[in-house]
Amino acid sequence: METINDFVVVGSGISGAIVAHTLVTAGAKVRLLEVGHRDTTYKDLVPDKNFVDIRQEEALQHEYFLGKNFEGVPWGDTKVGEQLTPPRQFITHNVSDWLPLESNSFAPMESLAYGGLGSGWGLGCNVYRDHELTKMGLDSVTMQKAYQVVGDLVGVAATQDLARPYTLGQITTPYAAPQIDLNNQVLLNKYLKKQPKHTAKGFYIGQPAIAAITQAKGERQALAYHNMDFYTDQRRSAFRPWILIDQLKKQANFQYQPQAFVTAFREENEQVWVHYRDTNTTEQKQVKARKLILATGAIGSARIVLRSLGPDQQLPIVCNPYVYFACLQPRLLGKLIPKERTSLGQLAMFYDQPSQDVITSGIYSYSSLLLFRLMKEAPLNFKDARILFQYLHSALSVVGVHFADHPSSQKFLKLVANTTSITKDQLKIDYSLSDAEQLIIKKGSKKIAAFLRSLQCFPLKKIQTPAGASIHYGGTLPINDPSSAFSLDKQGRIRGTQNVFVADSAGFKYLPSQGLSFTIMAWAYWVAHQALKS
Amino acid sequence: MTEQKRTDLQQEAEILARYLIRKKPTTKVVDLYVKAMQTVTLTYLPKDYTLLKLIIRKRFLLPYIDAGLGISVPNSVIRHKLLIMSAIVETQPQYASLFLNRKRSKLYWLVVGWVGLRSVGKAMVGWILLKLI
Repeated sequence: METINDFVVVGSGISGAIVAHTLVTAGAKVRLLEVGHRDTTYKDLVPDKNFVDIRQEEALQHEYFLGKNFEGVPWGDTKVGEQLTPPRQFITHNVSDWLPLESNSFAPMESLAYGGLGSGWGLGCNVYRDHELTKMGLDSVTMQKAYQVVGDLVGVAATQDLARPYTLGQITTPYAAPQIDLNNQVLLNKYLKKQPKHTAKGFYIGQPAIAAITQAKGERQALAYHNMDFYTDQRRSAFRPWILIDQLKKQANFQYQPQAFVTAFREENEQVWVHYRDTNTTEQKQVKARKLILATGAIGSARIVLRSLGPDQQLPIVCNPYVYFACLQPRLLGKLIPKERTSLGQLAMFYDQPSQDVITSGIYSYSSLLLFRLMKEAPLNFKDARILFQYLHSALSVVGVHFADHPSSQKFLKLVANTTSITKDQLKIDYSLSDAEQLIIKKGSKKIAAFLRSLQCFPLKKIQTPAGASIHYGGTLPINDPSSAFSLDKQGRIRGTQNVFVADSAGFKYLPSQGLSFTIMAWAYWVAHQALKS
Repeated sequence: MTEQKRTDLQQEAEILARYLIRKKPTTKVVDLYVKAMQTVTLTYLPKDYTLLKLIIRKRFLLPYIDAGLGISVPNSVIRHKLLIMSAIVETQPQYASLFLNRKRSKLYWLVVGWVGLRSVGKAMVGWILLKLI
C-alpha cells in the first residue's frame, strides 16, 4: 500500500541537506529523492598525506591526479567542469544526458551527484548585509537568525578582521580561521602597511570565512594542512552536504532514495504527487507527500516547475559574472614554500564603493595543481616551459573576481521540446549583459588589477570566463515578484500551489558578488521551518 | 592494438620523455603513455602525420617543432601528446623534483633569462621550419 510521506525533499546539495536535517530533527517523516551519483573510483585511492609527500613517494598518484582515463588532462576549449580534479568529476556525471541544455551564451554547471555541487564547493561563507538581503527579497531579521543556526550546524572557521562585515558579520563561531600560507601572508602584510589609505579607497582585505573546522568535532577532524583539498574530503574537516545526509540515514524517520530523477509534480486533494524516473530503467514512477520541497538548484527547480505548471512560460535568471587573473608576486620567486598549507580560501578582497555593488575577489596560491596545466597555456616549448614554471609557480596566485548580477529582459530561460532527450524536453537559456553591465565589469576589473599591482602582485593575464562559469545561479522563481510567470512567497512556497516549496537560490532575484552558498543554506533552513509550521 | 602499433608508441614515448626530462623513461612511463594513446581522443590536423614521422626520424628537431607549434598551432596533436607525456612524468615520484617548488638563489634569474631567450630562439627556428614542411 502506498504510504504518504510528510515531506519529499528533492536534491541532496547544500539546500537539500539543510532542509532534510531541519525536518528530520523536528520529527517529520522525510523521503529524499535524487539521482545521487558517487565517486566509486577514487574514494579510497588518495592517501591521507601531504601533497608534496604524495608527489615524492606515491607510485599510484597518477591515478587520482590525472584520472584513470586521463580525464584530468584537459585539452582544447575550456569545458564546463574541467576545473574539477578527477576525484571530483563525478559531480557532473551524466548531466548532459539527464539535464540537456541549449545555449550559445550560457554554460552552467549542474549536478546529479550525492551532495550536489556542494561536493566541490569552495567553502566560502558570506553573510549578506541587510540592504542586500532586502534587494534579494529576503527578510534580514529572520535570515540573521538562520545564518547563526546554519553556521553552528556546518562549522565555519573565521577571524575578526577587516573583511568580517563581508564574511560572517555578527555571526559567532568557535573555529579560528586557518593559517594563511606564505604567498598570501606576504600580500596581506603589504596591504596592512598602508591599510588606512586602502580602506579609504574602498579596498578591504582579510581572511574569508570557510565552512571547515579547525578543531575536531565528533566524526570530523581538524583541518590537516595537507593541501589536498581539491582531491579528497577524507578527514571531513570541510563541510560537505553528504556528511549531513550520512548522519540522517541513521534516523528512522528519514528515507534516502537514490536513482530517482524527479521530473514534475502535481497537487491533488491537498497532497503532492511527485513524478520521477528510475535512472536505471528510465521507468516513470511517483510518490505521494503532504509537502514537497525542491532543492535542486535555481536551474534544476526551474525545470521541474516549468514542466509541472507551465511548460510554455519563460523565467528570469541571474548569475554572477566572473573573471580571474593569473598573478605573479616577484618577492616570492625562488622561495621554498612550506608544504603545510591549505588550498581553501586564503584571502578575500572586497571593493566597496558607496551606492555601488561590492566587487568580491578570492585570492589563491597556485599550490596543489600540477605544472602541466600551466605549461599547456603557455606559448612555449614544453621543455623550457617546465623549467620556467618550476621557478615561477611559488610566486603565482590566482585572483578570482565576482560581480553582482541583476535581472534583465536579456537573461531568461525556457523549456523547449527535444524528442531525443529522456524527458522529451531541454532547457534553453539566453543570457547577455547590457552595455552598462559590461562597462561595470571592465572598469571594476581594471580597478582590481591596478590595486593588485600597487600591492606588488602583478596580473599577467586576465581570463574572461563564459557566462555561467561562476556556478552562482538564482532568480528563476523570484520571491514576491508578480511580474515573473512563477514566483515564491516569503515562506518559499510557489505561488499558486499549496504545498510545494523551493529551498534553493531560485528565489534570489538579485545576486550580490559575495558567494551565495551560506545564504542558500540559511534560506533552506528558513523554508524548512515555514513548511513545518504550515 | 597490433604489436607494430605498440612498438611505434613505445618508441614515441621514449622520444617525448627523453626530450622533456633528458633521461631514459621508466617502463611505467612508457606503459602509461601507450595506455593514454589508446584512451584519449586525439584530433589530428593535416600536417600532424608528417610532423610525427619527422620527429621519429630526426628527433633533434622536436624542440624546434614543439616551440614553433606553440606559437602557431597550439592545438596540434604533437602538443597534445607532449602535454600527456608531461602530465605522466610529473606524476612519477622519481621525477617529482623536476616539477616541485625548490629554493633558488638570486642568480637563478640568469638561468631563467637564458631559458627564456633560448625558448624565443627555438620558436623562431621552429616557425620557419613549419613553414618549410
